[in-house]
Amino acid sequence: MKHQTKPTIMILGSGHLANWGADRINYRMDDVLAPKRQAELQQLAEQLARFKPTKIAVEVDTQWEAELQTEYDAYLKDNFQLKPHEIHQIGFRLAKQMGHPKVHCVDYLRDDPIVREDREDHWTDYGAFAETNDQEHLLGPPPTGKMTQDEDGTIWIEPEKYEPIVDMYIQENQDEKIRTNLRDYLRIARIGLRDEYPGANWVAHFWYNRNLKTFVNLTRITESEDERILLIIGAGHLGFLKQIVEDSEVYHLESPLQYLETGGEEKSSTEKTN
Amino acid sequence: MTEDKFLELVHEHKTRVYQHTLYPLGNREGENFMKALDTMQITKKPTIMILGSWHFTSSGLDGINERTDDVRAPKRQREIKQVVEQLKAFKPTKIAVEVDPSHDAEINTEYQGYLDGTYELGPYEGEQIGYRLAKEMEHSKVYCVDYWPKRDPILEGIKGHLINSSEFAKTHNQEHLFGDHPIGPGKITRDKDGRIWIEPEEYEPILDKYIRINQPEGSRMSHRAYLHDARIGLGDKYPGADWLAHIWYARNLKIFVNLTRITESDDDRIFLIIGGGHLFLVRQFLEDSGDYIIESPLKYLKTENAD
Repeated sequence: MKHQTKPTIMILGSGHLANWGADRINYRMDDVLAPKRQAELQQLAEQLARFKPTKIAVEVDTQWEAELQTEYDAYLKDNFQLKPHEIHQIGFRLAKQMGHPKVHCVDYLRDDPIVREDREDHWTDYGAFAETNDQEHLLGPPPTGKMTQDEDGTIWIEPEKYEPIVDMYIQENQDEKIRTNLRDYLRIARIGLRDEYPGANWVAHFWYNRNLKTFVNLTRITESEDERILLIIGAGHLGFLKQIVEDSEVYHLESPLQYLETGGEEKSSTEKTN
Repeated sequence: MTEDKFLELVHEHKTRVYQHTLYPLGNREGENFMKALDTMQITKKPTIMILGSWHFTSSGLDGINERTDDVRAPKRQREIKQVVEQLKAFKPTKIAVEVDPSHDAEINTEYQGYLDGTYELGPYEGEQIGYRLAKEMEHSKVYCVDYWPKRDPILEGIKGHLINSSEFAKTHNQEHLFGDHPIGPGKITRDKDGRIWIEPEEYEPILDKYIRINQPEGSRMSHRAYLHDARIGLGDKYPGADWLAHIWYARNLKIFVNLTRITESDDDRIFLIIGGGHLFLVRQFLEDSGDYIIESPLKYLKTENAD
């Protein structure tokens, strides 16, 4: 095996497996604790294991490290029921499979001491600005698909057909999707007029800042050139984070697509007919 | 129908086509169609060319400063005119300079004075190259696209020590994390305030210097160095990343935004002259936005009169 002079990193962009409804528009997911989904998650973990990660990093702020460790320790002792989100379902599962003593927190999601606490909302609320200033086209194209809405206004996009989890991950991590993701944020950045830059303020001071610090946190858990870090993170982070990692040239970057293969029923039935 | 007219029609209709015909097909099909149009170069886009520059008159305020001779000396003036002459081939429709838009009125009063022959160009690259090129192209105004406001509502009252990564690195034994910032050729000296000065040892014509500092390799290395500096910090302290995200990235992103704001049509050909350090990010934003065609000044700047 060729010796890498740089540590290796692989970033797996993820949809939200749990229906948190944290975003304005959310994709509905069926229950990943159901046996069929569990089998698919097991299959995904086995495919990712071929990357041979030395550390697994997840989208949790570093301040929660002790809490996450308590959960992970309990899980190692078969004394913990994994919750239906990707941090547990993929991160914990794979880390245990690889015999890791811990799972690493690398997100930066807290009040930043640099950003004025007493700032007025309208300096960063690009959504409201776009609506009142006829700039809604910069918010991106409207979602397509079958939509439902909660009482509190949260929009859900219902899946059109059943899709195996590995297939979902293959979709989320396509280069084209990542490019679109980057472009969408640069469009949001344009929201504003004259001396007001709510879009750029949000993109720079919140979104880029968070992704840059996630990168910094990754470098802090990197101990040697032999390190092979797998980061599992919301697919929305892929554009900025991947670019930061690439441009820094600190890591050798691997794509998860080389490990993920759709191995569902469809493929085996085609193989049979051939 | 001429090809131009055809392209114009396609372009006029593409937005409507996209919105009314392709949305019902779903985003993927719409995106693919638009991509196909892009590859066929049927989709017309505005063009931008960025000339990375050094500061003709060093403020001495940067970490690394360069000693320069007086660009108003006759020989330098001839060199500048030669650069401007070559840049004219880009046929810019707008010239943008590294000045905050809040100074638009002052800048254009100066520019108007220059057009009327009542204002003498100062020793700044924005004036020497920008104003001169704008006049040659018969532009009625120049555009300010920097982000350097008198007050920033997000960062106002920022505590300086929070973003002082070099101080942090020194006191926390993290100097090995410093990025390798590329610097030009010359003798390096340090003044009593600790600022680094580069003294050129050889005479370099202005054209040659522009060709040198606009090589893509230089700006790539410079950006990489900023990302390396970003690692400086410990625990809940991120002085390196704070400076990069809140100051440098935010400023460059707003320069990109300001460029989009002065873009009025697909026929726009914007020429921006700006400090070489900004090249990488501003260019990356323009590229990733998918909304611009980017031309390199290296296409126009040639040392010999070969073409």
